[in-house]
Amino acid sequence: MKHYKKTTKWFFLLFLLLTGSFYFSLITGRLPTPLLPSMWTGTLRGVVYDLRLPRIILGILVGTGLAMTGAVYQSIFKNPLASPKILGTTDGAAVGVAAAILWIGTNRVLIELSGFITGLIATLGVLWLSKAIKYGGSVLRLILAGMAVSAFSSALIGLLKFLADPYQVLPTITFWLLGSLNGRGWVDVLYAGPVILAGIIAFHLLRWRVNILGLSDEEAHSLGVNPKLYRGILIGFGSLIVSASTSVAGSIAWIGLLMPHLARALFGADNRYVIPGSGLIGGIMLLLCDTYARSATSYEIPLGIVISFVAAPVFVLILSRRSLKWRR
Amino acid sequence: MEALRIESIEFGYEPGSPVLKDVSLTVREPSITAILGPNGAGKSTLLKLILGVEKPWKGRILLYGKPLEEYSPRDKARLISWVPQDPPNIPLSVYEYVLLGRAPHLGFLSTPTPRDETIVFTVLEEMDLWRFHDRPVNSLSGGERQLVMIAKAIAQESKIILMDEPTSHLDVGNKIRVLRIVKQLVNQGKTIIYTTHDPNEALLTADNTVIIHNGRIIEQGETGRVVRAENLSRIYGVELREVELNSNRYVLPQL
Repeated sequence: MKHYKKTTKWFFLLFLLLTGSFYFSLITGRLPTPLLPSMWTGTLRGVVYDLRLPRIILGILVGTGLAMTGAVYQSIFKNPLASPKILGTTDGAAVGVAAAILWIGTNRVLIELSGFITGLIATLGVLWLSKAIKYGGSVLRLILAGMAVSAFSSALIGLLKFLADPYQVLPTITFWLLGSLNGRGWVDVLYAGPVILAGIIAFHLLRWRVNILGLSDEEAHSLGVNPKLYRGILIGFGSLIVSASTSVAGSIAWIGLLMPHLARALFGADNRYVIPGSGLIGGIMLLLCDTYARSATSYEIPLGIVISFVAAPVFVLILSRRSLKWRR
Repeated sequence: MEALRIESIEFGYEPGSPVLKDVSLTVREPSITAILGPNGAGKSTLLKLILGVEKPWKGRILLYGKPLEEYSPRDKARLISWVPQDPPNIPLSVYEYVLLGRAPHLGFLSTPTPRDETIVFTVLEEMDLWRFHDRPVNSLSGGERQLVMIAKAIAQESKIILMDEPTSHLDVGNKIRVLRIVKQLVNQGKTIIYTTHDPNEALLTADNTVIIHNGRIIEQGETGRVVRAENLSRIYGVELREVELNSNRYVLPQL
């Protein structure tokens, strides 16, 4: 059918773009890099393989993971403005990061681990709190609980910043939370990579069933799908991705919200294509933004700022071209 | 063959205030059963219990002789499909939406196979809906959406189809189209259970009718015997009369 031909064409182009961005990022940086890998010797070899490559891999994983989570959350919460932040996981992870920087110090693995754990705790808190809320249906309860946990986490982050030494510790917390892949290496890939990758694979395998969760709970039930169980599984993988991403790269906004909309503009509404399509676009977008962040100026611009500069006009473009009612 | 048996069920959403009381019912295969009653009588709740979304407080539901709770969600979905009252407000295309009906026939991590796609294509062709296949479901008219929801239930290939007020939002033309499809489905061996508040729909299509009022069944059996002006006047609280036209009986209001 016509639609499938178009879909295959777009996936092929996106794969090509991702491969091209990967190579472009590998040869781009403050240190001039020749085009051929055989010419990467000495210090340059170390820069490419030990500094740029792990950062590129991490960038692709974080971008792909967050964009796929956004696509899944927008479907299961039946809300085109849902993002990976909706369940308080991002702010929860930020609390752990800020607390670890304040009290543990500069050990990056411990900071990331702390963020990962508090991100998961925040999500569990949301799931628990949603049972206590008596207002609205099960989806609205989750969103409301997410808002409450996010607000509480933001207050905690504010408190931790207030307690931090304004000359030594506060800038570190602020810079981390702005979002950056500066200084991330193979250790970070080994720590966060498998967790994010597990989430990406799970989302890819369950992508068609996510369509069913966009229906009413009764309709999902009639198709042999227990909506609460499936939502729980998807939220579980989503919170793993978001906790790992936030703890390793800080608070990366917009990717999870906007990439699914770009994917829908290319593929329509079927999550069989939207979820992997969002992932590819998210990976490319984050990689290119990070490449710009680390090579444009002599002092690295935080990734979160670069992404927001790019995302704001894209957001306006989407709003001007397509209604957020998800019409094609 | 007995498709469904409901034995003295009681159910409510709030403890102490049952919505359904002592409801018993048997449905044979193939047949059309209309559940008739005024708004708020408990008709949709009864369908939700048959679907297994809600569990009865008391009593039990047997599907082909086996208690409903002994079926896995997937096995149950191969036997019962559901046409909701409110059309889904989703941007999936008609084709993608009807394809979801194949979910009970696929594994946990599977995506639809070419065979599933062929089944959906055939259903859409037969229902003359293929011309819409690329259109988002939420851009269709109410009547078109209703037909698309029925198409999904047909693609599910279940033996029983539950329909929650399938004609309530439709104009006369679409209403007749839907009722014709219901009749065709029963000729193909399906068992249809649908709710309605229009007695004439029951008279036109249903083999059996269950009249439900305030959560209790007040009359059930063969439609011609059950759907009588005196029974209906009692539950709707207005005077109704029966007229006969071309050997069909209708119930009309008397103003």
